[in-house]
Amino acid sequence: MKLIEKILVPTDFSLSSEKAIDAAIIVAKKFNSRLLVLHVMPDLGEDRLNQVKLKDFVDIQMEKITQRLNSQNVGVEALIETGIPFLKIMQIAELKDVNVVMIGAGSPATGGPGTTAEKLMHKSIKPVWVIGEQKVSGIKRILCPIDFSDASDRALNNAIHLARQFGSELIIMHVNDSLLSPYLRLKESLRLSSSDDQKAFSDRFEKHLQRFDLLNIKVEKLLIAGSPATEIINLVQHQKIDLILMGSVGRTGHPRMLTGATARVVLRALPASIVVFKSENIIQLKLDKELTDIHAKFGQGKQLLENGFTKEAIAYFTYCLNEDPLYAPAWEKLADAHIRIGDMQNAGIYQAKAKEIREKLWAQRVESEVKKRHALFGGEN
Amino acid sequence: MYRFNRLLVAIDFTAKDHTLISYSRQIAELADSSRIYFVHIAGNLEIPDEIRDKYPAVTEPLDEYAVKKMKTLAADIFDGRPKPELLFEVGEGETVSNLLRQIKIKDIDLVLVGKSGGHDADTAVAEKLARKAPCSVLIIPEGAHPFYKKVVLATDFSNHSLDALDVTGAFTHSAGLDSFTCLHVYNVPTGYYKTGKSYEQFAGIMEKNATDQFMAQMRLVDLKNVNPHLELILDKYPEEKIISYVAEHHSDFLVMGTRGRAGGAGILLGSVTEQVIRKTTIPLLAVKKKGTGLDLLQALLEN
Repeated sequence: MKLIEKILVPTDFSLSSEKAIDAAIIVAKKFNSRLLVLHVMPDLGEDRLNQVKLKDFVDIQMEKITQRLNSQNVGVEALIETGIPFLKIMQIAELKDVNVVMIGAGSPATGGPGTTAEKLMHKSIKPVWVIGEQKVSGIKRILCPIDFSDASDRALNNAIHLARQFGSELIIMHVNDSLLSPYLRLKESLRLSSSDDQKAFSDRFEKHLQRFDLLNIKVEKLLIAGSPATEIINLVQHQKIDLILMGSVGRTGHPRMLTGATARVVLRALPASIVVFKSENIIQLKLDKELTDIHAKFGQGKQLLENGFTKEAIAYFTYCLNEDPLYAPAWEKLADAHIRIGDMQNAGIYQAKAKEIREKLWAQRVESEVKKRHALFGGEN
Repeated sequence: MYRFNRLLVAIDFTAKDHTLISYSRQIAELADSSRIYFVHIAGNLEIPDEIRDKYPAVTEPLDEYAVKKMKTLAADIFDGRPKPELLFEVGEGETVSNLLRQIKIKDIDLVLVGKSGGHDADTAVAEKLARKAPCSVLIIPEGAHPFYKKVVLATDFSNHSLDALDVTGAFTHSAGLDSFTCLHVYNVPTGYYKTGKSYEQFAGIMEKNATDQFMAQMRLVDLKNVNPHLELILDKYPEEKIISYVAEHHSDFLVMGTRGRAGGAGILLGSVTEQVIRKTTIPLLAVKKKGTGLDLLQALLEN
């Protein structure tokens, strides 16, 4: 089972790129991922001599990086391309189907990220992880601002997986800005009376979070009124946050939500490393092989459930039950999985079903031989 | 092969260089050449601002780098043998005119130049050199292998072709081959019917003529133990026939004289060779008697 298979790290051999590689090593070691290190050279056209000279220089630098990564036991593939950096990076990211692009923020002179990182954030459909100037040591506290949009749900899902894998603390925040703008308040007041604004929002927040499997994760939930970008930056500066994961809806999204603009403002300030999500996940479940045996499928399902892939786990358990409707452990795990995503009603049904089957089997056991019982229970639960 | 004493290899730092250098070694061995000049002409020896900004670590002057790079490229292939002497030169400016100047100054006998697949800038350099250089030019298309078994001489039995025949003979002899193909494409002149003969009859006459000319030329040169065999093709478009012939027979080396029948009459000469240079996929040796660079043409060029 692989969660992050490939990480693309574009480098321009600057200090900031080195930081990105450091961060990528941490992630790659955790997830046993392969690093694709990419350098994009300018196209000098007819100037062959300079191009060749540059290629020589780049080759040496890439060799150094490859050696560094090899010494850390990280699988690496060095890629050298010619063209416009951010376009090539996007192209390669899609061509190689990477999980995430990890890029150094670039020129610290301007304070914010370099042009390549910023363009990538705006245009790449793959998640872009911009590594800030802060020292990379580990991922202890993750902040995930949400606005109930699909993109932010995606960010939250990935944040949960990352937090689970790194054992980090997860801060989920929602910034409600409807109290600030009179116009927005007017719109909002059509649905909510101003007195229980706060209450309604906090209900909505809680209800929304119930859909996520937060088992075994240290979670802090924050509901703040204010301007999203300012509050996010504030929070990051006052609390020690290592990583921000946020969705970016882009220009077309609902204007009140955490739009591309919010992500952009946060990225410009770059208070910590940040991952921006659009339509693809960092964590993409990739299973080692296709399983056909029902017991193996059940084992895989359990493993998935432990790692927080609740929906995928449910698919596996359902498959097991289609094959053998009397497979009680699968019913029980199916119930567990539903509890974790807050579907109590179905969970109850499945639990009852499991109990019923177990009782039936108990009765059968008296008369049937040990062998059969062994096949159903054998070592699985 | 006494002619090819000093070689010049035009290096352009593309994938073609390796083949070019391999060829230069082979030819130097066959011709017992004394010197090989490796020349790269750069448009500009300044490091562009783009690179200065993006790669501050890159500071080595370009000309030094170019010489170093050519040395490593050549060392890979020449492997430290004492002969021929290898010399390296970097120039700045327009490629063809600079190469021509170097050829003149260094008294070069043979220029080796690469050519890539399409009809682009490289092909243009190869073409222009073949047209203007006062010495023979070997044009090597991308990806050719420096091994040859089947040598073809495309001839029109002119004086220039006689030169080419002489060179081909010496060339095949030193390469240890005992034969090569002498390809002649002939045509029946449009006015043949005025002689009262049929097309076939006239073609027969032309064919006999060609054979006679071939025999006459054979008497004029000393081919040692090499026996060329004559191949005659009746067609209107010699350049196409030459190209298709070498492709069909998997020939791997083509020799041509650079100026056709019309002799020293001007710029538009050797058009068949030029066409073949443009289209060839195998190495082509355009043989030119040294020093026959057109004075008129040079005068035109230098102004």
